[in-house]
Amino acid sequence: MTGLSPPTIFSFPVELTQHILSYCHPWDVAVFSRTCRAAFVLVYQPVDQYLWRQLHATHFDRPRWISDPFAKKEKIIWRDELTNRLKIEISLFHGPPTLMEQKHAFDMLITIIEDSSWAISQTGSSLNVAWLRTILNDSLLLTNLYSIPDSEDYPLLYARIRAYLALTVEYDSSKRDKRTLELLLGRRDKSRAYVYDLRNCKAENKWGPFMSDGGVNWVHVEHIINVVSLNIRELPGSWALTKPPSCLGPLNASFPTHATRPTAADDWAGVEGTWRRYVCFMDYRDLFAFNFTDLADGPRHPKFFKDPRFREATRLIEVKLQLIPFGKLRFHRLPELTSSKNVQCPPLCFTGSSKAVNGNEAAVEGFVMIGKDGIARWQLTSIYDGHAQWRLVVIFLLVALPNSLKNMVVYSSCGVQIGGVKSPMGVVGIWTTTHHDQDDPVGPFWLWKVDDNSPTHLMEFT
Amino acid sequence: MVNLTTSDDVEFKVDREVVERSVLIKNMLEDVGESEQAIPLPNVSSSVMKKVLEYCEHHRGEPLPSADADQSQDETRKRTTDISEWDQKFITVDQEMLFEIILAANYLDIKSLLDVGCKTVANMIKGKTPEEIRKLFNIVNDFTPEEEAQIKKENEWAEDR
Repeated sequence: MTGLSPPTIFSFPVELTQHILSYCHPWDVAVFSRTCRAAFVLVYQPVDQYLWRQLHATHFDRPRWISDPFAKKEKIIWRDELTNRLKIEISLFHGPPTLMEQKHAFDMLITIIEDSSWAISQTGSSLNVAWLRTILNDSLLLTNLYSIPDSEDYPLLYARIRAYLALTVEYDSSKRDKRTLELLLGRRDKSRAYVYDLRNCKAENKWGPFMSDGGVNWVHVEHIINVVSLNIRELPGSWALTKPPSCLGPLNASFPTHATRPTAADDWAGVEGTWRRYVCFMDYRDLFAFNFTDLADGPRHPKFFKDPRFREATRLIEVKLQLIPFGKLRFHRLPELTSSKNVQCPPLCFTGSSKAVNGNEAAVEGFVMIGKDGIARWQLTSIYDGHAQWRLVVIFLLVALPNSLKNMVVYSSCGVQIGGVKSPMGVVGIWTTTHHDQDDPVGPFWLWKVDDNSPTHLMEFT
Repeated sequence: MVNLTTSDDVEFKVDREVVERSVLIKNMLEDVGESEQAIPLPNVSSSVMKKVLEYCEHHRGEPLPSADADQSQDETRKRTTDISEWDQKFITVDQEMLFEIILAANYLDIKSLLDVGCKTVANMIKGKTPEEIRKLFNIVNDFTPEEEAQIKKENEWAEDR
């Protein structure tokens, strides 16, 4: 290259120019393509996908569908993968012009969050999380998400995104003023009124946050999250910091990664390992008063929870799980498998132990299966002997138990994984007793995975 | 010591450890062994070679990226546009020299230097308008009106920012 005219950017070999562009932000690549024909061809008519694949890899996690055994095996078009993600960045900042585009943007947002869960489970970090943080800090998304009345279009979609973001509104410390606090507490009262409304816990919704058609009731999920996370917020000392990770945790939060622990190849849900579980409940007398009396404009008025004497209890429990074959289930029968997804990801059955403060131990058993919608549903049962339960949870009568279980108390929990399979956010749901009598206790729970060597740090708080 | 001759017939005597940051030369030395005979580098001028050797000297002893690092790069996702302070100072040269260094690094197969050069050019493009980029790289706008319309369509995903 000597003695000739000095090199220009187009005298480079094509792959070199593309290598340079791969270090640019995609917006800058778009601007570059507008400078001249050669630039346009380089960007939009490349001989291979190198440039777009690199740009995608620099800004976003590898889309989960590529590694998803049930996804249709299509050719990956990296340019589309990238531009589809960036398009919604624009619409989230400017407000999408139409309702359809809004729905599209939210659907993509869910994909991006679920991809981040997958990336974290594989590598322990996620580029999507950094992107989300920018979007949530700088765009009006959060404000919009929380200002929309329930009756708006796509209420489930809105609730699902709010559930995935799990009260990230709290993240901004500058907003921790009195007004925000009141707003949050008001939200918790409303959510308590939903979660502790016994009509929302019935056979049609499989005793959990589900619709009668088997779909996830994201509105219910969101209410559970509101109750549990705002209760955690009020816990004394460092317990207030013992909480499931959210998208907007501290910048260098370390996620308990499924990668640090070699999981069995067939453990698609990351079942095996150590978990933490918060369960909340109210005194059974309060539960009845709230549901069946006219106290505080009742029955079932959020005002009920404004009474300063009202107490809701929160427990932190350690759960350890390991997989077992189907035939070993003692307390569950697997539901009929209807989805082809159940072939690639067969239901996983597990057993384990659950340990609360004061040495209250229970045996745990359950299973996790994937729904048609690709969302993991967890069902688990905790078996306490009759003695230990007195200290653990509210008092209730054992009359309806079958003879074989007379001396045991059996709690059943149904939940959904938020943020995708193996998400660090974990599983939220509802616990109640297995015989589901009308006056049985109910309460929300939140279960999430931690490193095996996490400090145990259990507690009871009322 | 290894002898190198540049395109303008200037001879360089360099420590083997320094010059082996170039994968091209490393492979050559492994194939033919060390000899008194100078390795000809017809694609690199002496002024550029001086810069390249300055870079290799500074980074001598650092581990070389493994051969398959490039393929796995989008898996490990450790891509960043950050440049270390020394490299930044080193690469503060005029555009002609910058491009020559990139070409030499590409030819000599010195991946870390190539990345420093490419990132520097990428940073120059950052935040500019098409007109500013044209001015920067001496590019002539040769689009027809029809082509302008096509570009607009292709770039819709990045519009309205």
